[in-house]
Amino acid sequence: MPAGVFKETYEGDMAFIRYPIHKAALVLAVIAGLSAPLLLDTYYLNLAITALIFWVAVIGLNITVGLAGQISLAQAALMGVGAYTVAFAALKLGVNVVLALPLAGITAMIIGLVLSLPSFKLKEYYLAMASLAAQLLLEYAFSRIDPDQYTPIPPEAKRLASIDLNEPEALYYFTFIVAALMALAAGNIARSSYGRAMKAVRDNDVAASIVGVNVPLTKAIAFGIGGFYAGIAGGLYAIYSVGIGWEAFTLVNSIELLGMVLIGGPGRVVWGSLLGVLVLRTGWTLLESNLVPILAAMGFSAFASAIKYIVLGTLITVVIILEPEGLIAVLRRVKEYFRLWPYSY
Amino acid sequence: MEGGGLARQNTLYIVLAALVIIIVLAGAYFLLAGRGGEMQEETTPAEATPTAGEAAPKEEAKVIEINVGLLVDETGPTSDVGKGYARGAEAAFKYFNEKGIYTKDGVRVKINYIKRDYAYNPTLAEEFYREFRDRYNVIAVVGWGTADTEKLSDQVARDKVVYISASYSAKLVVKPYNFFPAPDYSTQACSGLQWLATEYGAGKIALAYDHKVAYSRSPISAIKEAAKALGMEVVGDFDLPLRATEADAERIAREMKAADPDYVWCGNTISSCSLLARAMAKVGLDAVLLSNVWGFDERSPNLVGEEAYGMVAGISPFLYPMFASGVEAYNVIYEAASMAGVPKEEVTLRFVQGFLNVWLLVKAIEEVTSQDLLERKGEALKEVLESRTFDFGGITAAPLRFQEGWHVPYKTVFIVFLAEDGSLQLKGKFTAPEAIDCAKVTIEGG
Repeated sequence: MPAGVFKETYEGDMAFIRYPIHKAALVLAVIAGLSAPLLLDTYYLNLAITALIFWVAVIGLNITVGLAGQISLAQAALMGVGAYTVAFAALKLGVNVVLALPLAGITAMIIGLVLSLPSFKLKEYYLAMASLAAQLLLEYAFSRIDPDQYTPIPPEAKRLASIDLNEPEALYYFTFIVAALMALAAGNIARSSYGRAMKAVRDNDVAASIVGVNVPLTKAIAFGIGGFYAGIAGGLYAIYSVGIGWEAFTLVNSIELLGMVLIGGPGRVVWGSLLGVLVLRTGWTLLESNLVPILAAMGFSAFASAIKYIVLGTLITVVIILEPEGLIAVLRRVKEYFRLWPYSY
Repeated sequence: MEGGGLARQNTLYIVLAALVIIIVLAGAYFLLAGRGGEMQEETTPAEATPTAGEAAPKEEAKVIEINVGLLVDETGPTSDVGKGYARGAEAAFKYFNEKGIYTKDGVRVKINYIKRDYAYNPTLAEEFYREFRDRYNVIAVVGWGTADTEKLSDQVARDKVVYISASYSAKLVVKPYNFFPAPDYSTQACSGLQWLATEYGAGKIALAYDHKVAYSRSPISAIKEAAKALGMEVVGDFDLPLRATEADAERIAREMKAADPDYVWCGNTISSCSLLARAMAKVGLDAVLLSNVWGFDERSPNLVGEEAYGMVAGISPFLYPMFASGVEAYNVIYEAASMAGVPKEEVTLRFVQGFLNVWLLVKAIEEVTSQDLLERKGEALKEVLESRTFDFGGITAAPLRFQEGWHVPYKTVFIVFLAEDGSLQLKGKFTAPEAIDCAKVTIEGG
């Protein structure tokens, strides 16, 4: 048994902040998060905003896929439900986007609950097919309600009292607060009885049923929560955007979100999701804006445009083979090394 | 712990440490690189470089560097026409930089263009626009598609960034910072209908276009109004995908045949429209197919197949290079193409379209003073664009004259017809019917 600080009670072991390193990391994360607008220029601040938005969406998918083991290929479509809810509430009804945000979450949650119905009978590939059908159906619906390929979000709907979410700094803090609250909630869901039930269903649904877990209800809750997170993320994306279009919520986007879960760490809903987003979205955006133009200038235009998918595919394959628990597992080893230092043997 | 396990663990930490160092260094590089996009006026190498807004003493100024975004589709659903456009735009940037661009007061301007391929995805276009604006402080963008240009039009007005697009959507003509060197799609389409009415007389027309693509939908309401004014009957709207397959095209052709049209409007790009022409010939639909500007070009004779010869025509606000013998202005394009390593025979309509958008921007820059360019940037360019006549020496169907609040530079188009022997014939210039303002119909139609 390795040396280190160990908890002697169940409460201690399940506490949200267990070790000094957690406290230090949390303080650092909050400081970094709050000071970002002071350190970053607008371009990088916008990258941070989109990272936070996608973090929320990936947390939701991680609850459905990682925690409850229910495959979903419709997370981007659920984001679209949230985004269009905010867009239409703002455009057609004149509702402020901040006030429309909870509605976005609830609408997507309801759709998520509907999507959970096939999971009562289907598993694995078959469930994936059902969610794929839902994704394509919603995609088609978006393209029909939004035939001009974009629905504008009126700038005036982004102003609430003295807060103007058209300003990147204000939007960043707003997104940061929402994302932090959603992450906190997700961390607690994972530790709650619902979270434990989801893990039980994921690991063996028959055994879970035998010990008294309501399997269909647990699956429905997982899909519902996943949908709620996707809806909030979609709503935030609508607030961030000049206008939203259905091309942002396609099957490719759903697969990217799933890739973020797999690479970050399935089941590690908070930090695993963040890691997935940082690697696959933010990291990629930075690489794309610097590497792709260089490749294109060298005459590899076709390769440059395909490189995203080559990198994405390779990364997912490599991580699944070498580190099925995701990059978070690597990070955990590093954390454990320092937690147990200097007696890490 | 066993020795092997410990060694493995140490190796892992070394790899991780290396990764962290790489990430930190890369992050630092990106952060620093991101702050280098200000518009600059270079004086002498030893002197400090004032950024936009800090006008340097005139006698020291030698070269002003400005950043311009170039948004193209080289890999998405409109890449069949987007690649040539991008090639022409890039050749123009390189050519004019090489030849020298001078402001009204004689200061040389160098354009740094930042190219991004957004694959016809409006969401991605917005991301790239943010990058252009926030990272590179562009004063102008040479853009592409309809949905993304329309979506960004209010934002570019707020940012005062001049946006010259390859989309000629009528909805853009009332946007203060959006420009293009052609009539809007609606006016173009109405002019095309005028040609049909003149050449063949009134008849029934079927409309084939992608119902979920803004570009394809753009002129439809105007076409319906113009058809009414010209005594034509619209016999149906048919949903032809922008990325149509042969099966899609054949299905649409069969559906259209049931409606028995005399004419067919194709509002997609060349791949889709060519497949439709082929399919029409295959199913025996005897109707003249008229395509939007992006649906027909020099490749059409090969793409539509011999069976469709004599039945297909295209609209173009620009003179095809093959008809340009004796047009002096074309020599500029050929020279630029030659400098870019593009053979003369590869200077196509698409190349010209990309080239002209950049040329229009260059002409505007040449009409502002260096001080205005540095201080008022896009605002100064907009004022110039709205107050001058821009003549491209016969490449466009008419000289360009933009008015404040109404950016329809002219109303005439060329009609190019694919003759029965497979050659392309210039049918001449045509103008939309006087009785109807097609751009207004589209704007009011929403």
